[in-house]
Amino acid sequence: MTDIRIWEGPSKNHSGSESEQTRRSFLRTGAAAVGGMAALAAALSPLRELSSDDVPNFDEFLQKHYKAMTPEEMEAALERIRKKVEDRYAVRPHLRDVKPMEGVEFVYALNLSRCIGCRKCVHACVAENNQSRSPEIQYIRVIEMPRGSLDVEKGNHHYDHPTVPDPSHFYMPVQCHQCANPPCVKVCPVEATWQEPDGITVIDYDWCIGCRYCEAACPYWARRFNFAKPSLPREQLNPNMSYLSNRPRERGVMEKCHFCLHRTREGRMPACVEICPTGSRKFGNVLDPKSEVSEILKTKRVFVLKEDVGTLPRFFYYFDERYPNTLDPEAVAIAERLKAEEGDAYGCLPGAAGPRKDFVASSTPEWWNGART
Amino acid sequence: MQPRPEPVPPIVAGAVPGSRVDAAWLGWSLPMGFVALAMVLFALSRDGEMTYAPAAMVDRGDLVVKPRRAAMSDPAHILVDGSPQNCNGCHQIFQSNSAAGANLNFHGDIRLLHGLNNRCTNCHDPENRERLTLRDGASVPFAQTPQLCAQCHGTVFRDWERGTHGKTLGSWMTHSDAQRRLNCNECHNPHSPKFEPTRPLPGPNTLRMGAQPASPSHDHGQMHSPLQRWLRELDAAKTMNSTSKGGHQ
Amino acid sequence: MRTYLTFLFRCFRLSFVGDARYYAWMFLLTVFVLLGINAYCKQLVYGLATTGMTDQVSWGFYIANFTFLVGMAAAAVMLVIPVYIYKNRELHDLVIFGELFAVAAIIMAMLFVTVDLGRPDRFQHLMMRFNFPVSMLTWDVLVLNGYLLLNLHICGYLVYCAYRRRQPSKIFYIPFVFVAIVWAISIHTVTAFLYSGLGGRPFWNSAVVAPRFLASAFAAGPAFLILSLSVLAKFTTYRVPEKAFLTLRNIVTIALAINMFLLGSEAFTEFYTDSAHGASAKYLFLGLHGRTALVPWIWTAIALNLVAMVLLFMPLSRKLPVLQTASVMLIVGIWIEKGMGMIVPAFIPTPLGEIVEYLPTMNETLVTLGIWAGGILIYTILVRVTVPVLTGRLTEDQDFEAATTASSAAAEHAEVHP
Repeated sequence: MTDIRIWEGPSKNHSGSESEQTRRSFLRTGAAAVGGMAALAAALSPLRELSSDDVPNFDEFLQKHYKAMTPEEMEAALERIRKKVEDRYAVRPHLRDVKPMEGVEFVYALNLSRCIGCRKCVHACVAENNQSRSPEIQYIRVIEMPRGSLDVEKGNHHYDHPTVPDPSHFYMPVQCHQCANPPCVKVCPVEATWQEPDGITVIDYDWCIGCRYCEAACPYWARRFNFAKPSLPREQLNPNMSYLSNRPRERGVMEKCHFCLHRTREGRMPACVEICPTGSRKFGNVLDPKSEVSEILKTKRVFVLKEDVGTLPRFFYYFDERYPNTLDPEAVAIAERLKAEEGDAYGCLPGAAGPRKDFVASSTPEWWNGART
Repeated sequence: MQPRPEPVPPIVAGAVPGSRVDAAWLGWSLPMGFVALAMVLFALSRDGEMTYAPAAMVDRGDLVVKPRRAAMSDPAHILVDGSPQNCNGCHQIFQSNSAAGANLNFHGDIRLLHGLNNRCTNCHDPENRERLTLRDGASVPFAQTPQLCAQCHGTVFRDWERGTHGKTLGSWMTHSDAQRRLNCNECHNPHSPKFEPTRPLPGPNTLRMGAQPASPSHDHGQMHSPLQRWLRELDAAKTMNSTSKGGHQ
Repeated sequence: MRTYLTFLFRCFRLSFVGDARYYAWMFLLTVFVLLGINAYCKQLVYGLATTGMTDQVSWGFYIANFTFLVGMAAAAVMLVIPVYIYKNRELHDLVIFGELFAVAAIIMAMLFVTVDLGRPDRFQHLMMRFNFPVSMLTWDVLVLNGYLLLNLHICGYLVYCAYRRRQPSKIFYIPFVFVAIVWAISIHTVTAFLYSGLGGRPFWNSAVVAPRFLASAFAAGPAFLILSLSVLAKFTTYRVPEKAFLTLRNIVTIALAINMFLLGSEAFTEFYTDSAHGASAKYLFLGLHGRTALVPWIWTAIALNLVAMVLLFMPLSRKLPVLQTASVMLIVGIWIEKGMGMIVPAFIPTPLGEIVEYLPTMNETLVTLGIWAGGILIYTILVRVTVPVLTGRLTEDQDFEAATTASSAAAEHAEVHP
């Protein structure tokens, strides 16, 4: 064993001249200190790669929580963001803070009988909401489910058939359910996410600290985290944006579906609804009894995903009743019987229409023969 | 090395004869170690750049919002060699073979796959080809297609009227002028109403490290469940049935 | 005040004094700390993409270690309880080492949470909009900081009194000791509630999580104390009474047995019910759809824990080397079981049934090692300055010179007569 003490008191000398010993010891101490500092500097050196764009400036650092900002402060924040977007993407965005409408509560309904799993909604959403393209962030997941089960664990997220729908499956898209009792809001330690009066759960991207507790809490796997700095090609930026929805995000914060609130709070449809080629997606104000979603809730058998976790989603799934196929004799027979027993049970048109017995019962219906002449 | 004159004699390791050189050498090893570490860290400092799975290739054309298909104009016309022609222009001259719905001499682009409803004049007004006909013989314009379809598809028509079937564009606000509910023939081709299978857009690739290999036993649960097997068999039987039926027609 | 500053300065100087082994040890720890800092800087620059975490498995190694360390910190009171409740005077001074360890463990735990944040630069938001009492995370912030302060106060006060050669005034620390006992239980309970309160994660959503956490903590924490007291006995003049080891051994044995029982209860419920909610447990213990990344780990952990438990129940483990072996085994076992075995499987499969496995990256591992090294560095320094004070070699009127030589002498002594 050897004594390599660096910090040696001057009174403690070994053999040899005291001054020389002290000098050496001092030299070694100094060298160790310098070496240590060099190593620390080297350890910190990756920070050189941080661009000024990544580091929050003073105003951003002091920016208040969404709910604490006065209108003037909000305008200042919006202007700051506009400038940042312009610097980054060379596009002057139409950025504003869209407030919820009075007397509106948004509800979404999705017809599982109609969805064909084409994933257009997924990509329309990405295009609308300025998500990172690489690494990829998507709000909607379409799950291919085997018939006879609603257990998502049996589903396939990565189906890759040449064409859809695959006859032995049905398709279940999942996105944020905008729960009325949202577990994600409950767990956020800094109130960076909350539920708005119109039922949309939003995130203040400038307030989120990125702990990902909400991501762990969400039973629908609806939340996404910016693990890296989002990358979005300039020409694909959607300049129509709002503070709480699709403005470009920073690295290290959460994001999720917000029912396209910059569109829907101005009366438009969410991007996923508009792009859906089958009309499976329905959106509207549940407080309006004439809205499509109100009609669906009234007349269809709807269900919500994971009702047992008590989240009270505002996102409903439904199947169509099996429409009696007028060309299927058996179905028509049933429909006829039910119509006789229950009136409009199968929704056959009163009066004029409704499948006629002779339409199918006879191989050559009378009107058919007539048509030939 | 002599014992040292401290009050409490330190039995330090250095008190071994001949260890002075080692002591100096080892004493320098600490700063040297730090310097070596600094060099290693500097060398590794840029070694953190991440690579991510490339962005999904999506044709922007697939994301344009528009009705699924262009409905027939009202009054109806078709393009012949690029120029619009009204229907009666030909149909008043040529006698149409309305009996043979499946193999048309003209209108070669029409594939009539509407089940048993395979005669042109079930829907088209035989007197005026620019209009449609209802079952009771009434002649209606093309704009009133839903009334025509409703004759057979009552439940769907009911749902469409309520807004629970079909597609609405423009606005979710029921009182808004921008709201437009598409007609039957803006989504369904009346001659072949069932939607054609379509190519799905790219699947998710949200794993930065690239997709994990397909799960080795993905059909777990399906293969073993008798219910699942039963459903599959039923499916297979149905498919066979319908193809044979189709062949017969 | 001046005296106190002198005390702090003397402690600071003392932490740089030691023999070759001390330097080698400190250098090694420093190297890992610097590697960790380097890795964390990369994480700051490139984001949490440098970790193995994904949207699917959104918590990983960091939170796993955090959970484990909160338990270790809580377990420091397992020395306090016999002393202050059962008046076991022999262990009196050892309490300080337990609490010093709690301090180091809490600091590590808080560092692990900090490195897990996507935006550490927004930490001040916690002060400005604190979602208390709704968010369990805010509870955790409060109890962890409170526990840190409590322990700093208790051992700081006792050590400073020894330095001043004063009898500690009971009123200044006994109430805090009792608060700390309850508080220790609370920190781990709150940490367990962090997970068990999430209805969307059936694997965590179980009432037995908190008791399990406490049981495993009260096994792993004292086991760590056994090891650190062994080191203390070997390398310093500090005399560790044999009774301390035996008391700790009893605690560890009982706690480990309870932990294994609770683990068994959990496993029974999951597997006998065999519902869809058991998918995560199936993934952990058996693998799911052919994916088995965690299976070898959890069985290793169970094997280690079982062997340690058998060893501890045998009289053989009254021998120190056997006790140490068992301690190492159960610390590793519980670290796996409670860290990777508790946190990661809850994310697999995802709530939407997707199976994405998790493996920490090199960068993430380096950050983790760096924090561990930093914590152990802090603990080493704390012990380094505490021992001379408690043995009366560093006092107000006696600077560290004598203390230095004494501790070196002790080290040498231990070398000669192990």
